[in-house]
Amino acid sequence: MRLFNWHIPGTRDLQKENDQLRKRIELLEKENGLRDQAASALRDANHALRMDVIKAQKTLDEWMSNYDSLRRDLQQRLEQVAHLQLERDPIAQLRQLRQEHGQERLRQNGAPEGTPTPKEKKEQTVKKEPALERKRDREAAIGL
Amino acid sequence: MRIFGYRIPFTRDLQMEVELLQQREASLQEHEASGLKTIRALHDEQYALRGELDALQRNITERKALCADLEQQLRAAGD
Repeated sequence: MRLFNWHIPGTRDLQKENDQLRKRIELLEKENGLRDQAASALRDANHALRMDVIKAQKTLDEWMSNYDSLRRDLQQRLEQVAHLQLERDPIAQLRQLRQEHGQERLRQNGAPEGTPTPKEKKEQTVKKEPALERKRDREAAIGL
Repeated sequence: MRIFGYRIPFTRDLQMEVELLQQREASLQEHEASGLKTIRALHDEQYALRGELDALQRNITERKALCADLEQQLRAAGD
């Protein structure tokens, strides 16, 4: 500002600061505007993603249920097949009858649940080592 | 500023304007800080959602393969 054609000291500095502030404000406004737009776009994208997650969760639930149902069907089918095979094989039928009969006898004699039948017991018994092998083991143990 | 005891109004106006502009700048800087924070949070959220979606899609693919296998076993058992 000029007064009587003189420049008043201080006004120039203020004017300079004023201009700089305006420039900085303009830049900040632009940046903030762009950032707000970016935030809005991100919000939209996240919303769409959340919807996809919900949809995927539903799809997965359907496949889980489908899997359980198929597994049940397969179990039933396998049981049916085993039953049919048993019906066609008289020897297997006899073996099963014997096993059931053995277990029934054990039950009647008061044996606790899970006690093996004499036949099962025999099958479970480990064969004894031959005498020669036992002798070799003994010798190896004492370093002969 | 005073000249011959008089305050020059123009200087006072300029000072007031500068103060107002400084306030406006401070407010915009606050807005900037909060905007940056929001953007970071949104990015984190997006990252987590993408991870969740990927995991779900992998599980779906795996489950589909298991179902196909069961269907094949069922067909074989039916023969």
